[in-house]
Amino acid sequence: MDYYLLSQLINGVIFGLIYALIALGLTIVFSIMRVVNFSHGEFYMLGGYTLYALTSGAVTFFSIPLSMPTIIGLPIAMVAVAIFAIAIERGMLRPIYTVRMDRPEEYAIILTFGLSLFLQYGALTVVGPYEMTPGAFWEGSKHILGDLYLAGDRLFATGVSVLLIGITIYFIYGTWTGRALMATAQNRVGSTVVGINTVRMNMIAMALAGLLAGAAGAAMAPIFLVYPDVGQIPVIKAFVIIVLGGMGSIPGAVVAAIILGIVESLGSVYISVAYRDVFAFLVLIGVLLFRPHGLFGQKERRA
Amino acid sequence: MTEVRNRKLLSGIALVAALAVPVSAVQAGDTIKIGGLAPLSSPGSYQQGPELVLGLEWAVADVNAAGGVLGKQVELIVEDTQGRPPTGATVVEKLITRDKVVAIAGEYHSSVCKAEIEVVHQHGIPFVIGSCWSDSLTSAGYDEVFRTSVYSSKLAENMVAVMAANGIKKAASLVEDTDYGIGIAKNIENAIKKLNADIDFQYEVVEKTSKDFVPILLKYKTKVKPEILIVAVTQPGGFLILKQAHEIRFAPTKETLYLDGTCTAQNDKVFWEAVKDAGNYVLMSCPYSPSVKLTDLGEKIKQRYIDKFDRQPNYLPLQGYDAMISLLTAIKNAGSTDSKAIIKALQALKIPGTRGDIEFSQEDGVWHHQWKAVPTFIFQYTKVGQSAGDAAVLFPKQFATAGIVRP
Repeated sequence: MDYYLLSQLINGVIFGLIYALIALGLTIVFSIMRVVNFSHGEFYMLGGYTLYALTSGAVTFFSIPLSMPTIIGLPIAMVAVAIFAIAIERGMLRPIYTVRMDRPEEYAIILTFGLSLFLQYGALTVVGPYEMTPGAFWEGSKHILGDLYLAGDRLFATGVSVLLIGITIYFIYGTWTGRALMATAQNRVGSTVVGINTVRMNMIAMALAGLLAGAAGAAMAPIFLVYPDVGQIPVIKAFVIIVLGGMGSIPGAVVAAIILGIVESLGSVYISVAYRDVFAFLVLIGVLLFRPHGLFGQKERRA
Repeated sequence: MTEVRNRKLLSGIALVAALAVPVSAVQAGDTIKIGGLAPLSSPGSYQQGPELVLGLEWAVADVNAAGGVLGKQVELIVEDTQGRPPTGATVVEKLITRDKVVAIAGEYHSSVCKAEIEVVHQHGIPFVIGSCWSDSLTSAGYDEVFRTSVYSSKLAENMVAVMAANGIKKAASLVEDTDYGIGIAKNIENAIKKLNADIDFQYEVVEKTSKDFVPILLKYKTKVKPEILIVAVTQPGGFLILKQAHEIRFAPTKETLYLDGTCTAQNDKVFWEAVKDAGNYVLMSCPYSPSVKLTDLGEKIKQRYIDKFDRQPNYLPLQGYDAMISLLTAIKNAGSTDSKAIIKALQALKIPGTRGDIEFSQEDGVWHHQWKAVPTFIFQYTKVGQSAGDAAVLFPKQFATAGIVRP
């Protein structure tokens, strides 16, 4: 039996799930805070660098080289990036909601764009230009099907993606805080009236985005390496995914990410690999022609 | 009152002008300004750029320590070209028109070089290319453009010679979507015809910024089944392809060899940490092999690098040094900073470089102002973590220490 097509499909779905983890935090921040976070790719980068710092032995803490197992480094990297994200929200983005300003959305765009450049060039200066690779989560290649073998690390990253997507969906739709987040996304003033602390919701959204981006960066670091602009291309794909899925829609982001993974995988071999990164935009244009609000997006009502 | 204020203002301006004019005149007269180009930030190859700059800087420092050129110190003005052709063209324009450099050396990306040679040609300023490999740069035939680095057709001919000598009949390649990458693929096709080699060759162009190359590698593994995979993609894309080819158990394997045409093994530590087991049995096409003795000057530069960084140098500092030392020697030989005189001196140049005696060919085509005898090597790792200096040299024949080893 020819497993070739099936192998390509499986690889596409796996890569789609990896994309989904990166896109999820971006769509949460947009839906709750109405902020397009251009520095999301750098949160991803920080996740990878943090894991490397914690596990490689290259960094010392009170003269003790840090070389903890990667599986322990992963949650710590997630928390570290989440704390950083909270600091950005409190220190830089909060004025959008607490201070009267004419163009808060433009302020946020310029700020996060500047932060993205600052973090990239900061990494280049402080850490250096060379690629870094943390130790493996799951060593070796595993046989999947036919000629398809995949690295244990890639399967591990997919498992982390599925787990975190599941937890996030449960958190958003199954807990009081999650419902408060959704309420804030739907109507900020109305949420305040019914007693939801929307400023706190912003902080939770940013923390969640930091956790997810940090997890993505750390889990994928052994496969895709870590370097200063490692987050640039994934975040462009994440932007495509959240627009394709419908800005602010979590199920939309997951479905769009899987579609993109499959389209890229099949397009690479049946059309041309030279246009791999173009497929994302072709799909986006195609979908937006028929569904201008994305696959799961809803038309926004404006007062 | 107004008159007094105006007079004060005028005398103030006169004072500033009086102070400023001699200072700028002294500055302009004191040094000879040379432009240095390299990618130092994203999306350029910022890993390679600083290594190239190091070579440029060391050549300038050595010349200055020996008394400078034409009785003046050389001032190197380095610009970051970011791997973007428009940025390259803009900074070259700025170097020529604002900084008044007399000549330029460096650059890493062929696509950027392509934009830059147009600007230097327009202004008539000499430019010695540091490490852009595309044939089209010298075959443009511009008087101002010289190259001390390797060039794609030479690398391609070497690869085809190694394949033919080892009885390889089917080769597949992945090349990056740049002038350099596509140039390598086209040159391999040409070299197969030129050397009349019986090799079935096909290639695909990939985006060097992609992360997942598994689909195309799986296609090659299942449908094409080549005996060798040739990859011409700069890092980190080059690292990812090697990792993923190993991940899906495609190459390097007993059935399929892996030839890295970009020489991503520039830093042993970074290479082995990134690719781990995947690097074993990889063939590496490089403009330099640490196992081969350099010239006296080259050995001096190599030792300086080892003393500073505690590791073997790659080819970039050597190429940077060669480009700059050629340029500065030509200015010295010309006895003038006039562009035409420098170009003439470069055409007549014959000096010992770090990797051999540098002289520029006057032939047409790709050899126009190209250092034809520039050395290149193909070596193979046979152990995980092996240093490039310990790897077996396969090509050229006079330096070969072993034949191809399969896993």
